[in-house]
Amino acid sequence: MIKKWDRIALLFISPFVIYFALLVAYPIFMALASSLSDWNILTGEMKWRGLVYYKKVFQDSLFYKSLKNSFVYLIVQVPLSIGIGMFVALLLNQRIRFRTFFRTAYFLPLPTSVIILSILWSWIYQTEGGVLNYLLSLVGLPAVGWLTSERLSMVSIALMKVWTDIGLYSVLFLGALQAVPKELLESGKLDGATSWQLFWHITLPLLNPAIVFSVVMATIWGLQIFAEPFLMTQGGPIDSSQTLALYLYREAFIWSRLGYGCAIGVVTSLIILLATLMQRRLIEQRISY
Amino acid sequence: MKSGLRTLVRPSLILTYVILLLGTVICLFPFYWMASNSFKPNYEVIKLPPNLLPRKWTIENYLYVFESMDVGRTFFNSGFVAAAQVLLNLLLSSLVAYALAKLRFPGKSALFNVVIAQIMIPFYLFIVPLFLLMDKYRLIDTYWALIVPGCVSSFSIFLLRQAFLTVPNDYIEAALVDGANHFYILFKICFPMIKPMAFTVALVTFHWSWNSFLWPFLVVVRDSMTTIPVALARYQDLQGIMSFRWGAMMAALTIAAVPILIFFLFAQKRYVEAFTMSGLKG
Repeated sequence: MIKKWDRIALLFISPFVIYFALLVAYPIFMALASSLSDWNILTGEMKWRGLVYYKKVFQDSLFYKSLKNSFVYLIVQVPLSIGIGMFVALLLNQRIRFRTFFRTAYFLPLPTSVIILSILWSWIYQTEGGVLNYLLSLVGLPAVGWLTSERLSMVSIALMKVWTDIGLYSVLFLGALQAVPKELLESGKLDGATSWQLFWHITLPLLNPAIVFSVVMATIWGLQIFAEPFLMTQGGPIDSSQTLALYLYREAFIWSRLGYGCAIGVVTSLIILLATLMQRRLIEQRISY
Repeated sequence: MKSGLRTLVRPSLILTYVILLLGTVICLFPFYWMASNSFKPNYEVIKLPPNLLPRKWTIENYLYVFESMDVGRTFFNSGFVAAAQVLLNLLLSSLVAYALAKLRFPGKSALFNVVIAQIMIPFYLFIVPLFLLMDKYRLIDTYWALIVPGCVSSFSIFLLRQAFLTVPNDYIEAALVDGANHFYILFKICFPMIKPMAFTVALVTFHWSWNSFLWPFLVVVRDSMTTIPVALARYQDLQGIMSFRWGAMMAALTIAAVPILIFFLFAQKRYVEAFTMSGLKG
C-alpha cells in the first residue's frame, strides 16, 4: 500500500509556516497597508491615504540624499573589498608558510561585533585625538576630518568596512582559487602564457560565480547598513552619512511617522531588489565567455 | 641546494611576505589600540599626541566599567538569547529541511519557493509592523521579543536541506521498514550524519544572534534586558553625556570582544569554513 503523501510532514512544517505567517507575511501585509493609510495598530482605526506617503518619499530630499550616500558607500566599499580580498587571496595562494597565521589575523575583525568595531573606529577616526591622524602626522601628512567632513564621512565608514571584510573575501576567494584545476594552468603555461594572461583568461572566468556572488551580497548588505553610521556619525555631519536604514529608523521610530516609515521600508526593499537584479545581469554579461 | 635557496628567497616571495605582514599589522593594530588604551589612566588616554605604548598601566577603567554597568547581566542576556535562538533554529529549521528533502507532501515546491524568497526579503520591509505587533501584545522588553523573531532562519533551512539531501534514502527506507517514525529518523539517524552542516548552522546562528543590534536596540527598554551590543551603544551614549571617558569605553569594548575572540581562536577552522560555506553555497 503506497501512501500518497506523508501526513506527518504537516507537523514538520507547521512551526515554520506559523512563524512565517505571523511574523513575516502578516507584518509585510501590515507594512503595505500602513504605507497606504493611517492605520493605528493599537486601536484598529484605518484611514485610507492612497499613495500620499509614497509621493512624499519621492519628494523628500533626505531620501535622495540617503540614496546618494548609499551609492557613495557602495562605490567605495564593494570594489575595494573585493579587489583587496582577491589580491590577498592570490598572495596567500602561493606556496608560503604561516598561511594560517595570516588568515587568522585578517579574519579577526569578522567575528568581532560591528558595534565594537564601529565605536572603536569612531575613536580612531577622531579628528583631533584620533590615532589615525596622529600616525599621518608622523609622516608629515595633514590631519583629516574623517568623520567630521561632509565629503568624507561616508567614505570613512566604507573604508572601515573594507578593513573588516578583507578577511572574508580573501578566504572566500582563496577557497575558489584552490578549486581551479591545476591542469588548466599547467597547459596554459606550456602554451607560453604569462602569469597575467593565465589569471585573466583562465582563473578569473572560473572565479566568476564567486565574484558575482560577492558583489551582489556586498551590495545587498551595503544598502542596509545601520549600526555603523548610527554609532559613528549619527547620520551626520549634515546628513552626509545618512543611509536608507537610518532614515527609516528616524522617521518611524523617532518621529513616529509610521505610515511614512513603512513606505520608506517598501521603497528601500524595492531598491535592494532592483539593484540585485541589475547587478547580476550586468556582471554575468561582462565576464561570461 | 643552491636553487633551493634561490626559490626560498625569491624576490617576489619576499615582497609577498612583506605585504602580508603589513596587512596583518593594519588588521591587528586597532585591536591593540583598543586593548592598550583600556589599560591607560584616563589622562593618558586623552593626551595629545597619544602614546603608542602605555606609560602607566592601570585597571581603573575596568573597575569603572564593572561599577557603572551590569556586565554579568548583559552577558547573561546575550548568552541566553543566543543559546535559545541556536537551539530553536536547529530544531525548527531541521524539521522543515527534512520535510523538504525527504518527505512528500502537497505544496512542497511552493513551500521551498517561500523559503528561498524569505532569504531575499529585507528586514526593513516589515520591521515597523513587527515592532508594533510586539508592542500591541505587550511583548516589548521581554525575552520573547528578543528570541522569537529570527528563531527560524530560511537560510538555515536551505543549508540543512542541502545536507539532508545527501543522506542516502536507503537508511530512511530501512528505518521505516523497522517501524520507526520520521521524528526518530530525523533526530537519531539523519541529524548525526550531517554534523558538520549542523555545526555550521549553529555557529552562524550564534554569531548572528550575539552581534545582532538593530532589533534588540528597538525592543529593549530596561537596562537589565540589554544584550551586549545594545549595552555598548547605550554606554557610548552615556559617555557622551558625561564627557567622554574613552579609556572606560575601550575597556567596555575589550570586555565585550575578548570572549568572542577566544571562542573564535578555538573554533577558527570551523568559523572560516562556516563563513565561506554559507557564502559559496549561495
